[in-house]
Amino acid sequence: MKLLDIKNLHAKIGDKPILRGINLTVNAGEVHAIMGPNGSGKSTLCQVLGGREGYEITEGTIEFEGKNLLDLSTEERAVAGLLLGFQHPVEIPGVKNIYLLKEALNAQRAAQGLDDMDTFAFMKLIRELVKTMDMDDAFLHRGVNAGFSGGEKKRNEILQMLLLQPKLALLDETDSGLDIDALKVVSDGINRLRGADRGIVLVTHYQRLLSYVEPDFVHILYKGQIIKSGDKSLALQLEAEGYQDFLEAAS
Amino acid sequence: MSRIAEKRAELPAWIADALPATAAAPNDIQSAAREQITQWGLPSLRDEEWRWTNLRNLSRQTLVPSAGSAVAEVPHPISAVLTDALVIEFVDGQLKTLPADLPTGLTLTSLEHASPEQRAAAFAPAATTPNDALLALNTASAQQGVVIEVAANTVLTRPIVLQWQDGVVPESFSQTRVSIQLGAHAQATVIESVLGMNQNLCWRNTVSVVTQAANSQLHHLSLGLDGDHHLLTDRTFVTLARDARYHSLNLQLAGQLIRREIDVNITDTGAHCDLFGLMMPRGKQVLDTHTRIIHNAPHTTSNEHYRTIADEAGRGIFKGRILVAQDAQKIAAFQDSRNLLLSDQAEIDTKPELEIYADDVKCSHGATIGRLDPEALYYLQSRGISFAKARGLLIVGFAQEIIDEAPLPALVDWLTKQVTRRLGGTTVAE
Amino acid sequence: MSEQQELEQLVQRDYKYGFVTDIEQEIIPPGLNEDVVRLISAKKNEPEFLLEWRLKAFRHWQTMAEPQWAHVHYPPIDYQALSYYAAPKSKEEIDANRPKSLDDVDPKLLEMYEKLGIPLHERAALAGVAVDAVFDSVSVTTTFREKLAEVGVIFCSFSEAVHSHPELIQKYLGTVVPAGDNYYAALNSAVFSDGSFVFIPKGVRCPMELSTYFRINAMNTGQFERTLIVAEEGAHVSYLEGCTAPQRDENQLHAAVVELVTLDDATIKYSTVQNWYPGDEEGRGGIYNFVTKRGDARGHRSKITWTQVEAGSAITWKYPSCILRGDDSVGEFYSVAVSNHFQQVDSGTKMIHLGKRTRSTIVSKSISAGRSQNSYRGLVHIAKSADDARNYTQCDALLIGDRNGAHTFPYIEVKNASAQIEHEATTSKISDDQIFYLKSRGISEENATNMIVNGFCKDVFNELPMEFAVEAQALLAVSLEGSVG
Repeated sequence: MKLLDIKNLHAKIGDKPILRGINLTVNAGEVHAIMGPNGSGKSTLCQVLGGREGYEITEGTIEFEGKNLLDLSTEERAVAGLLLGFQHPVEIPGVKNIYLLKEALNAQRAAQGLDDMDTFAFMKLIRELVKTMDMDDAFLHRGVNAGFSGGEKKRNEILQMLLLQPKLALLDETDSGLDIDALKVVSDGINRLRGADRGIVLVTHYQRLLSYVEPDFVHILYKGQIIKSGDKSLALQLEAEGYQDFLEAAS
Repeated sequence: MSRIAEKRAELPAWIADALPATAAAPNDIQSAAREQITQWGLPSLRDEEWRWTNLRNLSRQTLVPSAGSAVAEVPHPISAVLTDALVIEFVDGQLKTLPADLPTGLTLTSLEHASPEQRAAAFAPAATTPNDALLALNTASAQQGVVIEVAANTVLTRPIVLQWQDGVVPESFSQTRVSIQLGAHAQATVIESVLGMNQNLCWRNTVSVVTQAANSQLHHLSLGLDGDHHLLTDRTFVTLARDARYHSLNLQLAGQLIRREIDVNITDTGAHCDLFGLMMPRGKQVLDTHTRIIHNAPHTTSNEHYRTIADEAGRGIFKGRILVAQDAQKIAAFQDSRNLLLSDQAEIDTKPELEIYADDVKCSHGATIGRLDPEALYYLQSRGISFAKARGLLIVGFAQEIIDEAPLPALVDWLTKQVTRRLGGTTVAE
Repeated sequence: MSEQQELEQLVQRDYKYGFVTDIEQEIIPPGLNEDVVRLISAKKNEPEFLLEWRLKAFRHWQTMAEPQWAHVHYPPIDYQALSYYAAPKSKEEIDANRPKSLDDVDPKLLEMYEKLGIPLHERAALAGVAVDAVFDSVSVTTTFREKLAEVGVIFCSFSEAVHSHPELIQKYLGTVVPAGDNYYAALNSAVFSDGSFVFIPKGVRCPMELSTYFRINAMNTGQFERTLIVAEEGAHVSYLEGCTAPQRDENQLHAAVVELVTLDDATIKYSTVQNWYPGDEEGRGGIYNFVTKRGDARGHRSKITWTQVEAGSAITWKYPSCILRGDDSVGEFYSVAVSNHFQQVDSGTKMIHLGKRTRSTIVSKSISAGRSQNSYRGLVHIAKSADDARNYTQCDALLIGDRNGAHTFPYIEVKNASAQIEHEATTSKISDDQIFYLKSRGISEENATNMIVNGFCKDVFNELPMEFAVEAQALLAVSLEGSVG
């Protein structure tokens, strides 16, 4: 089943075109990796899918489960099951993590016509997830990402994914800035998300993550276009040759 | 309704009588200022900017205007440290010497010989409220001073030192004006060093006007290290164009009453100012600094650190205002006022203010007042250091972070020694 | 609906307490002179000492100038155009307008209190809050008085206390805020018409929260109530105050005085949710809230806590303060001040440390939206006598929108070397990144803003009594509705 269908997507910031005709289809059950050098448009693609303001879509369509994604506000996209994991999760001091998790879960449930989850059941669920992410309970009562280390922020992103169980998880450079232990924990979390009814898109600069989370497809994004697609061997080839040589050969 | 007009004390006769009919300021500006000061009198505790600083001791005196006969008495200690400095000498507010053999791009002009344009620039800041009374007094009176001009693209490697010897003639007072103009991309260091002479009572009221063109950089130091009885009221106006950087180090250990005011107007994108200050009042000294930083343009930054160490019956006053104008977005401003009270007779008053009219800003200030950390004292003592020495180490350490901001290593070393000496000879491991 | 439309709709939402109650009122003609002061005193049948005290205050007021230092702007107030006394007429005019029981109160008035959600009837006993309601200038009714009397707590209207406990009034009135303390306090001292009086005797812990609701209803009247709370040795009381006013185009003056006294080991916790009419979105109308609140921690180890949520009023000028006289006494100030549209707030506190080992804590959170101006003004003064005093101050300002101002004016004066003072302040905005992050988790923009604002204020909300904390959060959400866009 088609989850995400991007056709000929063009987007710009101000007068600067960033995306120049992206085509990408993600089906349920698939894991896609999008790789590319700095400035290739990876983050822009994530932000456009997340519904961030400031980007102008000049051409093309994005469908999520057959619906026009561009008609949906950011929060509607989230409750519909498209969840964005940020490259730089923002700090929100004062707002407790636990509070965010609960609000987000209940917003999703409300959209599905369900009542708020019982607090007891919620706490039980969240405690288990916290444990699997190798985190401390105390972290639930800290401000959202406030004073978190880079690794803690990324774990927090994955924790939210595990709780909210999105249909499509879009992870923007979730592996950047992680040491190897944190990378393993984060990768384990992502692997747990894998499933027949879920799609995952990993946006990454490095091949490293892909040794832990094996993608079904790898796409190379360059100057706002997907210039090459293949299986996981493409990532290894890219790593071996380096972006420079690879891109020169490819373009 | 009745808003009862506030009655102000009259300007003391010895000041009023000394007001000249004309001075260095352009005529219309001078006469307007003269009218202001006559109407306002000296600032009083009821003026918000003066609520902690009492000029009563000053207004009770009868001082005489300095005449210009005095000559420099001692070589200025700083000249031994900065041997290559370009030294401008003032005695009791009278310009005595300008250095010869100036580097290319540097022009020095005595205020008396300044052109109308130079005078207009030197007297640009206008007084608006009784809080500015001393500015008005200076504008109405100043005849002595200097204009320092650094041409565009000039990088001065030698520091300019203004040596002020005040109180050579006892019970005298003077009004001086300094203008510092930096062209685009120019870089300079100006050090003002004040000596109060012979334990004489005297007063100097001075105003400096700093104008920095695009991408210029100025280190401006004010050092008050010696003398116990002089009074100094000193206001500096700084205007920063695009990408200009102003770095101020204000170190006040001496004098009976020192009141410094630093007004920085950041007018264009990319400009930055650093204001660092250390005040160490003791005896019955009142050491006071008021700073005002106005962010009038987006993407501008400021950074301010002031410290006070008050001992005996000394009084330290710091008021710092940061104002972010409407539409001046993407501002980062940081301000920190840290204060040590070493005696029960000492007093510290501080007021760090934020006045913010734009929303995309990151501004913060902090203030602490306290005594030396007993844990740190105990730790040092437990390592075999005497109480007195441990105390000295901690105090010098507190001061050191400010002193380290001096631009030249030789100056940092020398200032560290001055401060250490001031703290009763407690020496830091050298 | 576009975000802009949505925003406009929300902004145009009405002030929910803006109704006028149509009941028969007795109002004296506008103007202020000694005769008016005498008339007010006579209407209330006051003892001679009180009249003298009022007259002295009035004479002093005439020599004073309105303070100009606050960061607020408003056209000059014509004090002669105001009426200084307005009272709802009860069915029978007994004892200076005072209804004997709820049956004597005009049903329309009761209905109004119902609208305000005040549990006036004792059948609302479950709420567990004893209420004194002040309507315009007169205290309407006090609930639960018998139950309180059993433990010796006096909770009644000020004018009643003048008759029933003149010795207490004479002993404490004006000892914390002297009649001539400042312009508005002097005016209040001359013309105050009612207010609440609380007395907690030695060793008594007040068994319930006490509460006063203030309501300005009449036009062109000033409201000048006066509250006095005395906690004797070891006594303990928590007091809540709420305020609303109808929507009117002209500005109305509210100049109240609150005095608190704690003796040894006593505690007073005074919480305010201030929601006077703030004026409309063009800045028309609204209450001028010029209030003097001060607590005197007279006794050793006594404690005074001010907690305030300030959401209403066109102009707020208010500095609930603590004089920490007793050794080891404690002063606390927790404040959330939110301003929108053209509101102006100049508020903060004074902590005057006189006793040894006195401690004070100040937590001030301001939120500015629309075209409002919001200033924190505070004084921490450590006197020479205050050995080992401590103060911690945290002032944070949050900006929403780019046409408002947030200002911090903290005065710190220290004359004792053993003091430890820490002051921190920050100003920041709700960033687009934060809102987007929460939205990307499925949370609506409105909720996202509320989450951030509530998180920002939580240090203060934690200090509020439970029933007020909920009200405060709701109030905040309403006040800021539509301000983020």
